[in-house]
Amino acid sequence: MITLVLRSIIIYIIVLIAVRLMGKRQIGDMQPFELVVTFIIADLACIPMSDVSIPLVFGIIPLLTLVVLHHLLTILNKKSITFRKILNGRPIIVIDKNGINYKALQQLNMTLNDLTEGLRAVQCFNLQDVAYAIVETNGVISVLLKQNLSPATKEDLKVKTAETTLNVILINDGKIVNDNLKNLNLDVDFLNSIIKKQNTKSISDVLILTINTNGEIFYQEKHKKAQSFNVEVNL
Amino acid sequence: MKRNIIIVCIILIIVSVCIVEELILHNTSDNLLILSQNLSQSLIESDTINSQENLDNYNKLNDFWKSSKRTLCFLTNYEKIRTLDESIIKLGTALQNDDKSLVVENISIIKSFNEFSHYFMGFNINNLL
Repeated sequence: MITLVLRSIIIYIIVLIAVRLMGKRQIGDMQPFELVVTFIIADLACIPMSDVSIPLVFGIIPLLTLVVLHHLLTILNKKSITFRKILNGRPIIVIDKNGINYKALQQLNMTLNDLTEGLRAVQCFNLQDVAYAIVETNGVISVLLKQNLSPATKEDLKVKTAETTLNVILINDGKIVNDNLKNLNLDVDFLNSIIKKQNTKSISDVLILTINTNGEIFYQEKHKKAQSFNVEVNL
Repeated sequence: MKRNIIIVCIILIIVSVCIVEELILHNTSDNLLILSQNLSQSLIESDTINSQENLDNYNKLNDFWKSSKRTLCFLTNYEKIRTLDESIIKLGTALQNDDKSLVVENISIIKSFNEFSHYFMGFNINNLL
């Protein structure tokens, strides 16, 4: 039994490394070749985990081979457009100015139900509102609404807006995020001055502290209410 | 760049494991075949089955198998080498009991296993397809 436990741990670590090496993607966002590798890896990992008569290398070597193969395919995918077309297919327009492209639907093995379901998933409930619908290589349907129905932007309405800022976490669950602090050219004294003003005993009592380039701070002490305030700081 | 280095390392690991596996499998089966042929030859030449020469040859075969089995278990499915393992043990008992038919049967299994082991272990077109 100890063997099974240790084998499971080893296989788990190797699968984790393999998946990390292949990059972060959710199942739905995967290209066909990525999906295939993920399925095979899951199956490969199970075999040597449970059957003790099979050496662990029988699971590890095919796993590593798939990682290498996947890496090579990814490189080819990046470098060659032709290869990308062969491997992933190409986006196909299923709705255009002439309406639904039935031939394209047949080519994709899609039914009208699949199409309307996909459109509803992107909050598009009326077919007549769609100017273009494209089935992407990963199966996701992208929709472009007709100009008169697309939502108005602030630019359309000529509304002046403040500059977009990014909130950066400086304290995360009582721990200082040193990398972010360094990137903003701030130091621990800056954090201590804020904490002192908020009457918090120590940094470990802070649940979260974020700051944006306008100096706006989101601050919450553990088991207390959140608060927002501004500080004068050059970022 | 870092990922490429890791991939190159993985390729090197895969290649080295494949080479080591092939070398070990070939050496083991070749040596076992020679040792079993020696035993077979001494059995033909000697008058009795459990003569000292036969027992010495068997011990050489058994010792070599014991030392190789450990390494083979890292590289092959144990179920595949089980037949060979059992035959070597049975051969020892048959030699001590002076059981000629059982000796002939097991020595044939050992010889045949090592002669044709490359069809089901290591790299071979039969294995590949």
